[in-house]
Amino acid sequence: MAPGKRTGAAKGSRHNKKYWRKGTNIEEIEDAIHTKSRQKETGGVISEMKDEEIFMIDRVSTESKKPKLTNRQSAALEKITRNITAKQTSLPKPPTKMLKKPAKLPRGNAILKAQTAAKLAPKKTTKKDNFDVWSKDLTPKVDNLDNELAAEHYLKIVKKKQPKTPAKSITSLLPNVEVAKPGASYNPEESEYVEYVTKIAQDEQKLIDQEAKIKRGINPQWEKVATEHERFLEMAEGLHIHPKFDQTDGDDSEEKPDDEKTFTSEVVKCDRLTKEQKKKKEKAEKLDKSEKRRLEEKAKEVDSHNVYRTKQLHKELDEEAKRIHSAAEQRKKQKLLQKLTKRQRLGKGNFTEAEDPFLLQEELTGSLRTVKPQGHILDDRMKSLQRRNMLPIGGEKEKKLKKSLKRKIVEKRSVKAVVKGSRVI
Amino acid sequence: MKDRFKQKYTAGAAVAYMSRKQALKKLQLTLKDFRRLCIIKGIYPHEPAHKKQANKGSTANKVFYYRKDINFLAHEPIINKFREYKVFLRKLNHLKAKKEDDKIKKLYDNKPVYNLDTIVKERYPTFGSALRDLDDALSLCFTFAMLPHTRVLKEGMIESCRKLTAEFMHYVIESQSLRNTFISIKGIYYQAEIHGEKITWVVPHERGLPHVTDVDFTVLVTFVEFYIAMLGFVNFKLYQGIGLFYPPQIGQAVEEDEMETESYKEQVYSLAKPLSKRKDVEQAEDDEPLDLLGEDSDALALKIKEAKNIKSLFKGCVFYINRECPKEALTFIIRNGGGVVGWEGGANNLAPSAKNITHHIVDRPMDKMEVNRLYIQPQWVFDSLNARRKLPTEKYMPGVTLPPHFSPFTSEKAGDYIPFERLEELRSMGKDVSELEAAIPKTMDELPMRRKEVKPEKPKGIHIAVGQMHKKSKEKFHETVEKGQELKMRELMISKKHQRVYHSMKTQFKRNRNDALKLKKKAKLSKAVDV
Repeated sequence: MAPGKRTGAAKGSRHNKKYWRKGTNIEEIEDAIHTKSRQKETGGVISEMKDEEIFMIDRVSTESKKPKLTNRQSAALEKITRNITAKQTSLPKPPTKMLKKPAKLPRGNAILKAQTAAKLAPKKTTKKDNFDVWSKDLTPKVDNLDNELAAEHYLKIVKKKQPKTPAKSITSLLPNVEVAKPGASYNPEESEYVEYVTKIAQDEQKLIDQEAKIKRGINPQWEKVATEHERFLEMAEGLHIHPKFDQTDGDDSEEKPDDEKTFTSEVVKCDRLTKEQKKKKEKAEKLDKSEKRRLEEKAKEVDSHNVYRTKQLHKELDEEAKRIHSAAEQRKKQKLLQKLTKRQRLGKGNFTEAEDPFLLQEELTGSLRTVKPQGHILDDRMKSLQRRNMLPIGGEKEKKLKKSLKRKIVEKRSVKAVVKGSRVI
Repeated sequence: MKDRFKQKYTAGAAVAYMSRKQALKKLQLTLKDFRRLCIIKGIYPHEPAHKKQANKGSTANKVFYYRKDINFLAHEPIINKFREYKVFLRKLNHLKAKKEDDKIKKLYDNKPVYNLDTIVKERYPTFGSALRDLDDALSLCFTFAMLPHTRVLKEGMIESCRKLTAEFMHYVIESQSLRNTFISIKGIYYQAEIHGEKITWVVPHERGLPHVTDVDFTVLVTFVEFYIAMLGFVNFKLYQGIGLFYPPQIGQAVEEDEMETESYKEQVYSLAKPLSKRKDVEQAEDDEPLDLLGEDSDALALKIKEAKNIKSLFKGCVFYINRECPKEALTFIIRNGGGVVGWEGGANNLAPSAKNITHHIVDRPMDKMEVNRLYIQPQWVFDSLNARRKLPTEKYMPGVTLPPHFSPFTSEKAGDYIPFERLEELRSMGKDVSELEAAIPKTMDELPMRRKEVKPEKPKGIHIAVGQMHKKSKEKFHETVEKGQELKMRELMISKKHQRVYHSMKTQFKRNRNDALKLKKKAKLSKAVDV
């Protein structure tokens, strides 16, 4: 039978008995047996051979097979393997989801029962039990896990246990509650009160001055806008309606407004040097040069002598290094102190100092019953939190520039649609 | 092989910090929830030292957090509660629109709530650390207890603030640990010493707080939310420490239901009645834990003496408070000093005509007075605590202009100006004021008068005296002086034409002489170095 062509029983499906009896290709089987026996004779069955017996390795890889681990990783790996070999671990079964039972329909007087039960039941109290947090162990636990590390790992994965808290950073050294100054007493001593109030007044004056300065800056100093009257005068120049017209001629020529200032830059003089001056200058330059040369030579000489001063030089260098080191330490300390006592820039907004509250002299009654409370403690608290770098200070939101311009619809007269009732011009 | 080119912003400040926007993206939270989370967990922003580095080249003022902190926040289970709450609100909205009341009720019953216990312990690993942070908590809670409830300020929060602050004041009274008070126009400052820790807080005046507009209440509410959880635990621990029941009990054993009643709460809040103590706990004697470190024995002795004085300050005194006086503050201080307080219709229900009253606190002019009691204005109580002794009451009688109320929080330095009254007060407190007194600058009339030389009196009339030799002054009539004078005269005679030349010559001489001197000195120095 030609290979590839199947006839008779071989044509049918192979899982039937008929095929096994009639359709089997005996040649194929014989071939297979033959090749196998031949292989056995020559060296061995190829399908049973190992890779090394069949293939040759002609080059060995230069890299080591294991991925290189860092010291840390290898230590961790070792720890894990040690634990695993020590105790066989078994992870707890994940909690299976409870299937919801279908809700029962109320039967008979179930609704009534539920209502009465609700009435009878005590009110749900949200109060919690009191306990000592600092002595009670709040760490979550797993029951069916004997290995400690595995339990910890499990708890971390299911987010029951928190990782280690990062080191707490101190935000400020300022006191939490700043006590009001003695001048802010409801019945202050006179000198203390005066001191307190003058400080506030000075701050206020500073503010006023600043505002005035800004105002001065805004107003043009030498220019002014022509008033209506001035415009009129200018227009009426030379006409007989001008108020100057009636006056005698001699007077107005002398009159000149005082406040008008003219700016003329001073003429810069650039005289040539005289002969004598030139000479002097030359001489001075020469002297300078010679002095410089002398100093250089001297420095060289001193340098050459330094060979004999090595011991002393070493000492000096040591001292210098020590000084620099101590200065650096000092600077570091100063920087830290600065950071812990000054306000940091947190956010876009600017910190504004709270204004100290005060009472006027006539408002100080000296009696607790009639005292007028000033300032607000919440305001104070907020400022304190901001001063201690615990809250960011938000600024105004940036205004976004519109990228696309809005279309404006204009009805032009020439193309205005003619509708019923429109007028013809 | 090492990387030849290291990429920018892959190390240092650029990695150590994270902007708020980045944090929001990482945690998948809204800004509002993130703010809440940060406050509850005690995570604060930081300004990077190299802002441009941290900001990846930009210098915009952003809010930065440590990356480590944000990674830590990501593990917080409360975040899930925040998300659940978001879902809850959405459902609520939905049901409200449908007007399904029973379902709404059910939803409210299953409202997601989060527990702050673990966070309290995480932020304050020891009781001492919680005590150190009590200043903020107390100041905020005392203020919140006085606020009216609004949409942001829930009623339950205000109620628990009131309860917790009253409990804390009860503890201070029972342990007698209040040390200083100061009435300022902002409010009343108190300082107590608890477990060796100085705790300062401020309580607003009872006059009702004005409305504030520029305070972000949502932020403060979050702070208060955390502080309420913290203060509950602190109070419990403090009560345990001195053997009191927690929640506080007045009188006999009280049922839990009774504790919820208004009248009982009123009794607790009034501070007038002592709390009952547990019998199973031994009452500790008067030995306070004191920090011995960094203080010499003198200061320590003084401290102990002061504490003792305060404990027996008002012992055996019965105070009647008139209705116009601030009751809470006065009761707090008086009971801290061991006194008994009452007022009409209060917890003790003391009648104004009771025989046992020793002090009557009044803050208005009185016309009818009883003989067998002392009438005082409220300031007397405050000043007495600060002075650690009962001050004479004459200066504090009703209708009298009061002496100034000093702040006990200022420490006087030598060289400062200290008013006479304050000096007296300090002296009375047993402090050494000699140094302060000596350092006060003196005015002209205070300075000791220069002692006048006592001249022997001239005898009147004709008398004989011992003659004195005439002495010629050596300085005045020295040779050189005479020569110099002569020279000056001659110089005057020089004609104007030659005068200039003469002067220039003279200055040149002078300069030369100075140069010579300098050179000589140098030479000497160099010689010394060479040798």
